[in-house]
Amino acid sequence: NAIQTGSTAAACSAISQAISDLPEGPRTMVGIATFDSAIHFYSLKRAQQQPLMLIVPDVQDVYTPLQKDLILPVSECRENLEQLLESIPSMFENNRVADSAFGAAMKAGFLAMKSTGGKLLVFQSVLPSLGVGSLSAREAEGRANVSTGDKEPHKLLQPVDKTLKTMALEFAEYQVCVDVFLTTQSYVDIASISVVPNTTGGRVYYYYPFSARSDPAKLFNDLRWNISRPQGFEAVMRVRCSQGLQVQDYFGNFCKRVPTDIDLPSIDSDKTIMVTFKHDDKLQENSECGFQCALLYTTVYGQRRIRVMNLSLPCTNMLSNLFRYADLETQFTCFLKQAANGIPTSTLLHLREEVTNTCINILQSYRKYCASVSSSGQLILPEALKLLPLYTLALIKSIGLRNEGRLDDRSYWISLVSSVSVLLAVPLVFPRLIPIHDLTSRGDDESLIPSPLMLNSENIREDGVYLLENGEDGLIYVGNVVEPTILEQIFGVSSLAALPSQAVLEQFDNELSRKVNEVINEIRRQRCSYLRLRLCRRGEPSGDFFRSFLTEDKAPGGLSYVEFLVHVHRQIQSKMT
Amino acid sequence: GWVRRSCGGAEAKRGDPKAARRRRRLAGPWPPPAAAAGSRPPARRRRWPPSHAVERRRRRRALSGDGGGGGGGGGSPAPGPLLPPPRALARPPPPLALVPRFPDIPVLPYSPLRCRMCRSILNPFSIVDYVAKIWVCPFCFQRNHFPQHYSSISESNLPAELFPQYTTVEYISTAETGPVVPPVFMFVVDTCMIEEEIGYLKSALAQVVELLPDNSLVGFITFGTYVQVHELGFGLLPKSYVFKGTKEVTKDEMLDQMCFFAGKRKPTTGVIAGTRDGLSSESIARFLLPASECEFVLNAVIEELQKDPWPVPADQRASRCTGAALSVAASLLGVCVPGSGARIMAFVGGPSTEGPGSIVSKSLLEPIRSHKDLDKDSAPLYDKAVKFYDQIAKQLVHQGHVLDVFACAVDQVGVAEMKVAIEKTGGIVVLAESFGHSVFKDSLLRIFQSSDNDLGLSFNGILEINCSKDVKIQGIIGPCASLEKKSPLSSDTVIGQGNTSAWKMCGLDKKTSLCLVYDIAKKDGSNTIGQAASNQFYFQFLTYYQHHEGQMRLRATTISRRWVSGSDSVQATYRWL
Repeated sequence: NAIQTGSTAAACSAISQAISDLPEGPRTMVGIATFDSAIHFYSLKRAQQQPLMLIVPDVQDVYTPLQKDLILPVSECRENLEQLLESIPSMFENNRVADSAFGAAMKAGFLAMKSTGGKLLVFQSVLPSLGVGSLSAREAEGRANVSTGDKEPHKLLQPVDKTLKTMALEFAEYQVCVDVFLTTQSYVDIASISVVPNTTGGRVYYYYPFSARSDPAKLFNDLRWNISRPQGFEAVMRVRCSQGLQVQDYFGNFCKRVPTDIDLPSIDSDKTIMVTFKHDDKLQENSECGFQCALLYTTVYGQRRIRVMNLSLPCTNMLSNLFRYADLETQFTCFLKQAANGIPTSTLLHLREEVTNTCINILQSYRKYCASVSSSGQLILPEALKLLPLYTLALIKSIGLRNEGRLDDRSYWISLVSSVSVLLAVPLVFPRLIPIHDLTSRGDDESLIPSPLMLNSENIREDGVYLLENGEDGLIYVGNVVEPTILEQIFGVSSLAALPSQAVLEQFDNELSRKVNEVINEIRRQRCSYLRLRLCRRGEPSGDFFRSFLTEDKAPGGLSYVEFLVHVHRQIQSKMT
Repeated sequence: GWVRRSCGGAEAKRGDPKAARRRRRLAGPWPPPAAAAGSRPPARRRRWPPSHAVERRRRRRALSGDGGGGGGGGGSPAPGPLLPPPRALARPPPPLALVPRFPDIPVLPYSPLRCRMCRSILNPFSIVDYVAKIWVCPFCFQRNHFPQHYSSISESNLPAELFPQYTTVEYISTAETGPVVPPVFMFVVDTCMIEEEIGYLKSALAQVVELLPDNSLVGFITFGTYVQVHELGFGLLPKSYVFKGTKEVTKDEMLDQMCFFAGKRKPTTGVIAGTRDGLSSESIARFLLPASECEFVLNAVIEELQKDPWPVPADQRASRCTGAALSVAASLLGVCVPGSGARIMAFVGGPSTEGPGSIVSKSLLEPIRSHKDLDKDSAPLYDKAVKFYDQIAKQLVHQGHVLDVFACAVDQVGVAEMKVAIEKTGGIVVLAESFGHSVFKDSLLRIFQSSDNDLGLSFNGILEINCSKDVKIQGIIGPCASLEKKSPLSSDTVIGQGNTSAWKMCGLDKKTSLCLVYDIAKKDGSNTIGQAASNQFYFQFLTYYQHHEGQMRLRATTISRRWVSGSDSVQATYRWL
């Protein structure tokens, strides 16, 4: 299946190009294996000769066929590796094996690098069907329960069993980090698969439905950034705080064996660890509270380092100070991660109510203790938290908490939220909407990115072209009456009918095209993400998908922004009496 | 007054120069008829197409020397009932002194005529009524009618099987009745040896590759810590399938793990193996390839043989998984060519220390079992290893495959444990101190040499014995395995392989020798033997086998003996001799 959809060719091409970005030096080692119903290792040691393929057919009790020569310094085998990567797609061109021994392949890769630890990158395109850690198409079994999905926790959002978790714990113990690239056309049970990257400091990359035309560019850029971004290995992190407080919980992609530390086989600039605290004693008035985060890690050049961050915050017993200095983005990120954490074990309805009540309680506290002199007929929002209701509504309508949606999409969202940074948490649920059809006629030349529009239908005109990006996806909405001139300039087509369904944005020789690409590239830099571009048209499922992000609109089963504000206000009023 | 002859004796003496001279003298008074002579050129032309290379033609001629002789012999007797020979051929038997002691064995290109009661084959001792077209079986005295195509039989017109001097005849299947089956050679090569020994072995194997018959199928397995099955039919780069040395591999596991049903659904019931059971020729051709097609690849694999890459601590023996390797070889042959003649040729350079069939642990502190240990039953691993090889023996006998062992080591290797598998499958054992020793090198070449002294290696032998009811079969001592065919001919007393009237000889050749032990059927009194209906009693030996040229053949040998009676029986026997 990976062969037919072009996933294998895309992966090999991405790897081949990305190898040149690996850090130089004797400590950088690389190895490669392929798998279907068996695992194929390649011995690259034989310089000037063809690599030798060593096949491990036993996928229930996995082993490595050699002790050495499976992973070599990149400088020694670069040429052989590049030739091999070029050969793999044609080598397997006639392969009709539909099975995948994904779990066994991960285990085998782990065994090959067990003595050194490191990063294991796995490319997978179908549901793992064979060997240790194989999965079944639970989605089909779960469809019968879709009518009650809103009221019962989804077992399908939990890992199917402990096999992959057990495997992941062993990986982490030997400092092996797993990143999984899913280039798939169907259900692959991300709820189960994501356990491994989430436990080992890695992540899931998800390309659904994989397009051999438009996705290879993102796959390559994701992979290149994955191996070249600032990162460390073999990390242990501990957070300490002053007396009176204690660490309550850690959130993120790591392995936690003891209460005080977290182990991260890999840590990088895209990962965020959230730490919550709780009181265990009274804090002294007018004193300061100290926090220290210490991270012990190894650089890609082999240095062992400790990175220490110290923070001191003043204590206060005045609630108005708390509201004055509130950090909305951080606070919202906390709500987001806690909600995502609860999805596999709670009902969506309950979670949405919980999120809403958190918002209401915050605003009610403000009203009660800080703004009691105001008129009861007015909704009072603290200045620092005035966007809290909007973000809360966006979260309720997000992929993770909305009723409708594919299981793997929701599981992927949960996995993504686990390590999302503060900067990217808000865009993930409250994307940025930018018109790109009139970039040349605007006067905003000072800023590379135009001011975003509010997320409602009134801002969408059918003669316009809009980009909606959440840091991960980029949706390009093309109205039904866009001028042919604009289509020609941006997409290189003369009519709407000629627009391909899969977007590959090229730069053409005109001002508008140049500006459009400038905007998108600047967003990519800001997000450290390539964006997965998709064209959306009105009257098509893609158009409906686009409109599902217009948070302020009234949605099926959801309130509009105005309605939500009214709802919040009424709840506050009822609590005040 | 017939001279005593044994089947083995006839075989052994066939290459004797004196016998050859006698054969030539015999041919003098019996010139072949013109019609028979006319049939030889077409066969020769068919056997040697002119398009073949000169070297190959030369080799093939040498290979088929014995077949040519057989063809010549076939020309001497009547070609069959349908083609009565000229009257001039018919003569009364010559005086005893002129009867050749070792006549050529005629090869008859038609099916044998059997007694409808006891299934014995028409033979010189059958009593024939030429007028009524009836023959009486000398074993059970059943009267049988000749079929229509024998209607021309008369005292002056006899089929070859009735010639008095042809107590042994061979029936060959025609092109319509049976295909030519290529022999299969599966090399299983030990790599846990010092470089020098590996060099010797490589040299010997390279010579063998030159001598392999062009149409024979070849497979190659190496073993050390792990078992590697080399894919000789690879496309883009060399491949090996790697199995753990600690586990034996069943045929079902082989089917599952080696993609023999690639792209197809595996049948859920029945025994599955071979092309007739759904396996594709392509999947089999990955591992078993005609010698003419894989000579280059095979030479490359042999040339690149390396010492087992796994490190051996100074206080330990190498990890040598002989048992697992033989298990893989047996299962692979069972999957690919069940029922076709095949030889596993194992080249072992030391004791088995890993996995099933181990004879000693890896620790050098533990000495290898000695003869005294075996005698005192104090070798801890012996019984378990013998049990394992007994299981391998059963599997190989069931498949019709042979195990040969070439054990070249200063140390013990474990032939005592393997003996049961070699013996029951009719295999060959060669012991030497080194793979560079002439005992090994010359013995190995002898197996593949095509000359007047070739061994005539054959496969898939089944020996059935029929005898007069006064005699019972106690058993056979020799390289064979019982097929457990219950029969009233079996004696209650068992010597060797008994309780049957049929035996399997997976491998047999010109020098194969069996010792048959008989019992005299008990009656009321010993004196009643003298009162038997006749003083004559008879044996018929039927040997079905796959000739080294690939056809299935049936060799029928019928002999008679005379009872002697009285208290002076021993003396009388001597006098008679």
